[in-house]
Amino acid sequence: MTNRVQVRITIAKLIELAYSKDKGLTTKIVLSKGNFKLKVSPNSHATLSSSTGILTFRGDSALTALGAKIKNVSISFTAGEDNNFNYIAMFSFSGAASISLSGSLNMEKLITSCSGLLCQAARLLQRRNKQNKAREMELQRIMGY
Amino acid sequence: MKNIVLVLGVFLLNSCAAISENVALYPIYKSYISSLDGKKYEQSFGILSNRNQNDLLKSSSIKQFSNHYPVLSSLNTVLLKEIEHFENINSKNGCLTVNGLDSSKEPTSINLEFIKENNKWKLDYTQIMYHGSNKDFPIIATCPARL
Repeated sequence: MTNRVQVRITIAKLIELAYSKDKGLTTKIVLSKGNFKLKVSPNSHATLSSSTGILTFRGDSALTALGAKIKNVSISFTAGEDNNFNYIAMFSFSGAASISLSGSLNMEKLITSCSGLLCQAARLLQRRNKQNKAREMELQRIMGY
Repeated sequence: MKNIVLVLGVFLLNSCAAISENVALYPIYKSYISSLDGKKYEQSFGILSNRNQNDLLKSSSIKQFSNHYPVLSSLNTVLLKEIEHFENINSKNGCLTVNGLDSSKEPTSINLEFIKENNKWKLDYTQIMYHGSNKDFPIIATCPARL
């Protein structure tokens, strides 16, 4: 069952994956005070883009938790106040369904949590070890739970 | 006077037709949800459009309904409390929006698009919308957005 919390965590995981791929460029894009987009294509190629630059990475490992085959993902982030970003996310599944979610998150908090010990969890996503559960709890907290 | 009565009669007949059409989709939605509650997937399958039925059958069977359609097969668990619903019907398709609260008691909507096949309404596409606040609830029937 895909629910609101899982979708929120997936968004955070995608940002973490981008961060683990290229820390410098991801930080520039998400903290550039402008708007940015995160997209995933049917072959799991993900792009994080803004006027500052574009980063491509594989998004599969972040999407597995949703438990359904993803066709496309499109997330638009709009800069708010104090490093808060409002986002509108749309996940399109193969199987005649899509899920959309709107909300806000503090990008600085997410990146800061990722720059220290917690960022290791992003790299461990693909290995599916016990730390994943703890990281999910941390992401839930950051995403507003 | 006769003309006024006639015009009034035609108006009332039209109104009744509109009301009758406007309640067509919600009972189908409820029937679909009820079939999922009882895991009667053959019944759920029968409510889907030909496109979706064929998509399942070309690679699987009705027994695999929930695996093939993880989102469609869990629609019955999305809204813990229903608040209101709206529907809008055209000649070829109809859209139903059901607003309510999810398991986190947060505002959530399900938008469903039905298409007419063999004179029956069939479920073609669904969108679950997890809203940020109550003010994001749709106030009219909204067709599901497709990427």
